[in-house]
Formats: sequence, structure tokens, C-alpha cells
Amino acid sequence: MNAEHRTSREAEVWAAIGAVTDPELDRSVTELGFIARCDVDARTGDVAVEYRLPTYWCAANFAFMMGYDMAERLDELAWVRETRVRLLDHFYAAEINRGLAGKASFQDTCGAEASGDLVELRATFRHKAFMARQERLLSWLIRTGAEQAALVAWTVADLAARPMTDARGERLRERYLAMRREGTPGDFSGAGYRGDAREIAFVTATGGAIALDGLDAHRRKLQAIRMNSEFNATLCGNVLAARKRSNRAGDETLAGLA
Amino acid sequence: MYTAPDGEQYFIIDGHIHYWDASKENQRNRHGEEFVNCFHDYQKGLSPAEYIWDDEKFRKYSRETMLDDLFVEGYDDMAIFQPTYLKDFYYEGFNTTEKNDVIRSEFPERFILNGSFDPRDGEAALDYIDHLVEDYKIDGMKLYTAEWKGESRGWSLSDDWAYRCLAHCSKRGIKNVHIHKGPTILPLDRDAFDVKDVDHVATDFPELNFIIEHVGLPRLDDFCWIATQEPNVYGGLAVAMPFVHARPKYFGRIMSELLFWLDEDRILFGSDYAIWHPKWLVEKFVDFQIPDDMAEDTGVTLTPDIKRKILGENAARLYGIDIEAKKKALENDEFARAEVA
Repeated sequence: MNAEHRTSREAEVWAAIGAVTDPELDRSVTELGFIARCDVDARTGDVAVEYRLPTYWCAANFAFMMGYDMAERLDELAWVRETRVRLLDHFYAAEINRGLAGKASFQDTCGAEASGDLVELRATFRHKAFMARQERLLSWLIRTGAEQAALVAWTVADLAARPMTDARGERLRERYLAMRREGTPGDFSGAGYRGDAREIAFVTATGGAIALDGLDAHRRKLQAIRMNSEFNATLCGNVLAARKRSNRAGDETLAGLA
Repeated sequence: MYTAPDGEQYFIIDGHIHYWDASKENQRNRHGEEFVNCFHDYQKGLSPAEYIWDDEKFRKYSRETMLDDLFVEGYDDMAIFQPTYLKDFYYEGFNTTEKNDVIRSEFPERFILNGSFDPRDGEAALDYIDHLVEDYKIDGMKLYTAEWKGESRGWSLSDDWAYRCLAHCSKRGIKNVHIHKGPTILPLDRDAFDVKDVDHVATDFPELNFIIEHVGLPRLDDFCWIATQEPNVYGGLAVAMPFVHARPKYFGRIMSELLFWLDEDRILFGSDYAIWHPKWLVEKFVDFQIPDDMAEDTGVTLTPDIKRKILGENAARLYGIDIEAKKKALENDEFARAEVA
């Protein structure tokens, strides 16, 4: 759907589902091109979303999480009456869609195939996403001349006030701070961060400050986390691009891209 | 054998190849079609354009195509058959030891034949291991933990029967166990790619070598951690290899991490043929250098000696192959002659 042709309610719907991320890739499901259909009936308040992941075999728990999160975000819109979120072309689609239609928990959806809910798994991947955002920002700052000794002592306010030299830096900071202000590693309930801009900006896995002589080791650990998501991002991105190309077989202009 | 433009020579043991049949006639259900489609999407997504096949060829390629791609057009000197049975998806299986054995028997100098077992078969799995060892003279095992079986959608290395099967392998003289971690492991509320069960079996079976395919990706950090603790854990580069073309800088980081945490003796080349073609993988890998800024960071470089280990010497050591004797045995076979012609 072309952005300028969207009604304001459609725009609200796209913004709501756009706030949902793929837990592994830490990118918005709309940016990733996972949304196959999005119908909004502004009069009745009915919203129907269909999504498709890069492969039929993508992890079932993540597939469920994304669908569940989209339904939750949509239900937060005051005018929305009925939401229908459906997963397409996936080995676990029947079970997941049953769960999404009945607004069931993951455990209830999977029965004996799961031994618990997704709280721990969600926390693990939020932690990974946080650390990958931190690593990207740290690398950018160091590359653009930030003093390492100063940087480890920065507060959230210092980081927010730092003049950034390009849009990429701005974006990395915005993404990092969005998560930093939500919580502290080890406690992503939000309780760990008290909304106090005097708290330290860059923190370790347990929420403490990073020692200057430990910065290299800390970054090395973070890089390994980031490499995992980059692997999946490349695989997913290239598979999606390949699929789009074969769906438009014969269109040489498109085949030349990617 | 590959001779690089600079004259350096490399003996190639391709650690991961398939001879599959995913034809419509063999597909049992939609999962069979989706499984091979996913492999095909990987080929399309990460190969140079001239190495992308059409759907029909990709579902089922001929014996001649494979032999030519590996040993004549490609630079493989030897290749390891790694089976993936998938009998819930394909009537005759996707890629079985029995079918691979027909080709191995014809060219015994060129192939290493690995078998497989499913611990969910219980006692029958032990009998099957005996059968593979006695009647097929298998050289090693390849396990696929994400395989479906009836109601079950996967198993774990730490399951009781998995332990009994591994103990039985050890008793029957099997040394090398390749492990392919797939994404549908139960329970579903856990991370589907978790590699931590490898840690337990590696500790409990120190006499076995565990080669973790696609180096644990996308859990490279956990894999590296386990491999630093367990000297009998190795990394297979299948699936990581094509990144040398699709994302060379990222590939450099993978190699840096592996060489930093493990060592150059525990990394094995694999093409994952027919997903990727060994010709371009070997050419690009030999040509590849870790970027200077990365090398400065880790102190790791990829010298011709290290590449020789990864491309062949490490697998030769694991499978007891004398490379010099093998070169002599291969120098006049029909593939060597076809290469010259």
C-alpha cells in the first residue's frame, strides 16, 4: 500500500503493527516486508492482517510472538473493534492461527509441544536486541571520535545531549535510548530504570557501568551477539528478495537488483 | 585439487554434500515441497547468478550432474555424504545412506559415507547402527535433531536414547559425529537454535568428535564458547561459506571469531552441495583475506597454510586419510582425466 494513499486510520494501523519487531532481527515486521495483507474498515473498526515469514520453517515461537504482539498493539487503538491476525504459509500456521483467533497464550496454543510460556524467551531476545543496539552505537561513537574514557562514564543525559555528526548516528542513538529508557539488562520489566537521566548510559549485562579497561572485552562479547542476528538478517533478507524476484519472473529490471 | 592464480595448491575434502530426491513423485506432503523450496531459496539468495538452478533440476539432479559439479567442474578431491532422511516428508527419504552408498561403492576413493540414526526408534536404532556399520561400512554419523517423526517434531542430544545410541556408535568404532541443528526443536518455548546440548554430549563422550554444522549459526557465540571448553568439538562451515560472496565483510568476522576462539585445526570446509557449488566457494575462499582493520583487532589472518587445513587437512585427519597417498590414487581416475580434457 502506498503511504500517501492511506487514510489516517490505516496509518494508525500501520504504525501500530510497525512497532512490533522480529525478536531475532530486532527490526520492525513492516520494514522487513512480512505483512502480506492489511485491511482496515474504518467504519466498522475491523482490522485484518496477514503476515508471511521468509520461510515455511521459521521458528514457531517467534512466528507466534509476532502475531500475538500485532494483535495486542491493534487492540490498543481505541476505535478498533475486531482484529484478525493470520499467519500464512508456515508449518505451524494451523496451531498458531487457532491460538491467535482465540487470543490464547502460547502454552495453550501449543499444548504438549511447549513446556511453558514465552516470558524467558522474550527476555533473552530483548537482552540480545539491547546489546546489539548498544554495540552499533558504541562502534559509531568510537569511530567518530568519542573518547573511550569519557564515554563509559556518560549518563543518559550526556548521551542524549551529544551532538551527532550524521543521521545514522542520530538513528542509532534514538534506537538505543528507546530501549535504555524502558529498562536495564537483567530487568526488562522497566523497573530497573527509574526514568532518571543521571543513570549511566552504557551498561553491562548485569546493569553495571563498564570499566574502561573492560571495554574491549565487553564489545567483543556484544559483537558475537550482533553477528547472530546479522546472519539471520542476511539469510532472511536474501531469501525474501529471491522470492520476490521469482514471483515476478521475467521482469529483468527487478532481477538485476539485489 | 585447486591451484590458485598464485600457484598455491589445495587438496579439497568437501565436508558436506547431499544427493537428494525431492521430486514431486517422492514428495509425501506439502512439507516435502516446502523443505526443498527453502533450500532452493537459500541457493537463490546467496549464490552468484550463474549458479542458480531451475526448480525441476533443483528438486532432483542426476548422478552425472553431481559427479561433474564436484570433481570435474568443481575442485573437490573427495566429498563426505551427509544424509538427511526426512521420511515423514518423502516416501523414499530425501537423502539416505542407502542411496548414497550406491555411488560411494562405485567411486570408493572419492567419497566418505556417513550414516544416521533416530533415537526415537529406541532399540531399533541400535540395530540400525549395527546394520550401517556391518553392511554399509559407514565412516561416521550425521544427526539431524529437527527431523519430524509422527507426532514428534524433533529430539535433543541429551535424550536418554540419544545417549544410548552415541554410546553404541562409540562401541562400534564410529569416531566422527556431525550434528545439524535445525530450527524446530522442542519444546517450542525454548530458543529453537540452542546448541547447549552439544556441550553435554561432548563432555560425556570425549572419545567422539562432534562436528557442528554451520558452526552453530545463528548461535555462533554459544558455539565458540562450547568449543573453547570442549577439545572434541569442531565447526563445519556449510551455510557459512556462501557468505564469502554475499557478505564478504561479515564472512571475515565469522572467520575471525572462529580462529580467535577455536583454532585452525578444528574448522572444516563444506559446500552443502547441491545448495551451493564447490567451484565458486573454493575459488572465493582461497582468494579471500580478512580485512586489515579486523585482522589488527584480533591478530587473526587467513594464510594459505590455514586455508589448506580448513579445505582438506583437518577432515583428512579426522577420517584417517593420507593426503599424499590419496593424491596418487586419484591422479588417473576418470574425473582427473576429464578435468584435463
